[in-house]
Amino acid sequence: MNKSKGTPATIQSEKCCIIEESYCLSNIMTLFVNNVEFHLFGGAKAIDAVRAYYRALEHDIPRPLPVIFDNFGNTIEPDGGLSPMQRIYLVEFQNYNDENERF
Amino acid sequence: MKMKGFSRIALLIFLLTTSIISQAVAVSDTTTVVILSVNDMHAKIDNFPRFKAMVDSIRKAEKYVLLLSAGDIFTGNPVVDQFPEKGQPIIELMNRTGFSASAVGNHEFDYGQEMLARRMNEAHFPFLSANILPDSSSPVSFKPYVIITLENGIRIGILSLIQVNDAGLPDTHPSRLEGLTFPDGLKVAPSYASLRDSCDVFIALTHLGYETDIELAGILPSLDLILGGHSHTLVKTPAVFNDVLIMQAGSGLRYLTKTTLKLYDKKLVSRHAETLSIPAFTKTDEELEQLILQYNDNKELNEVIGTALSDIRGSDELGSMMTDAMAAIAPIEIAFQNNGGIRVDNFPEGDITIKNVYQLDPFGNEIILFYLTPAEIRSLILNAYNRERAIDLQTSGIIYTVLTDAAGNGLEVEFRLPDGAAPDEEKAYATGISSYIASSYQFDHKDEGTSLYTITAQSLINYIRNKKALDYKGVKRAFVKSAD
Repeated sequence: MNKSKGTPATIQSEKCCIIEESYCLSNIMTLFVNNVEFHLFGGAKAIDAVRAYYRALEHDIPRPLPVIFDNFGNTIEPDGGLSPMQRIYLVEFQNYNDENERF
Repeated sequence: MKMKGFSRIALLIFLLTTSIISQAVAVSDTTTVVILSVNDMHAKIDNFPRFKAMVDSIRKAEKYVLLLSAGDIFTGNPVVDQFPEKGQPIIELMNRTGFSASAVGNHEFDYGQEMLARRMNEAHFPFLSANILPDSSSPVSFKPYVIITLENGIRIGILSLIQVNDAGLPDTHPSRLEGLTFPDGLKVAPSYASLRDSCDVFIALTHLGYETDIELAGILPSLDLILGGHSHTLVKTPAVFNDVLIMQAGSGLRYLTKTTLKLYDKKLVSRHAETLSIPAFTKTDEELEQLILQYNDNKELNEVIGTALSDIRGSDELGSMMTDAMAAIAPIEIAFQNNGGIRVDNFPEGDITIKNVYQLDPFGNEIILFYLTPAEIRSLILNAYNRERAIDLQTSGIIYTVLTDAAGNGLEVEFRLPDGAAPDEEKAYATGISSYIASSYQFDHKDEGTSLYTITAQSLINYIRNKKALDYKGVKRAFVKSAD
């Protein structure tokens, strides 16, 4: 266990720069993973939906990463963009997909 | 008998001759057009030598070959993204490979409009989009379609459309889209239906996502083919919707879609599509091999962007720096970084390079903005702590302490603002976290969050460039205390 005690040090949080202007968008993404409905942040990718699904199951994400299918039987890469109300399906295969290790 | 035999021979000669003539007529009136397409290359340049060799071999075998890109050529490889003229390497490679057109994808705006305009000027092919409308302040403008006329007069029309999210914008940071409006592609598409009358083959080169491409096929059935992108869908079994063939080739230049069209008397009579693996192709273009080596031996990644005044060591110091970088982006007030996403142990005293940043933060996670109340922030910290019963989140904008029972289980969280004040319990604080935490961690949140479409590594590069000199010696903002 990583226990630490002591007085908090000086915090460094002054704004050194404004990199981007402020924009507040609210475009929540509703989609379905294995027929379970999820509401994710706008701009979520397929891998975010996979993570949310296993978070809801309280399981670790399987390795190798499950293969992601769309409603039409095509595979989707983990960093693929999602459409609102999209349905994706996860299938856990044992053959290792090295290309997806980084996700 | 003789005469009869002669007649038979004459008849045979006549039949053979007419057969040859009719075949010759058929051949001259039949044209094979091969449309090659890739999508979502995302600056992955390493497969370009094989890809070009593959395209060249198809061009040797077929007279009429067009090569198209369905958008998102940029973002995803620091070699290209951090090039002094951002994105230039992939434009150079696309020029050498002979692209005919590229759809505009949402990530084409990631470097900003000025940079995109420069890349468009260098490209030997047009960037297309029918649903991007610039005003006079924007340096970019796009043709909605292009008609390519082959030597034999066959005309191929290529219409392009880009994805627009529920906020009415493509998925990139809105600050990069000023001066541009984006009508919904599916509403714009019907106004181009008459393009069918001006061409013999009508193609949509889209960056809409596969499911939206299917909707497009319903709206514009006069299309012969949709070559799409954005969803990174790998179509291995071609499918036709409303008599429109829809294809997509995954992402990262691992696959190429080859669609073979046969036209008889300028009428499309057959379509055949397949997806080819680029890494499986054995030949390679040596000239591009050399160019890729040069690009990958990237001096730009060794550019010094700042200085560590002392070692920046361990999760506390490195995580504090990373979250400060996120919190430097307005409107973020509080930021979190998980320890698992800190991939080096130390930034040694001295120069910090771009490569150092990507080694520290290689995952390409985007920053997600949530408006969280103090109670919601406590739930995030506590749940993160209880995953391993250890500090997991580094932070900027607050200092926190997890109170534990004797067994080390987190019970509650106390936190303070930088000036030592207690947080306003009624306020929702602009909180930046990585897309990994946003989708993987349990925490209470009424706000579902919004991507700022900026990766965490880029925020750190910008931060270090601005700060120039950094000192995080002894900085620690997350603590554990027994409640007993």
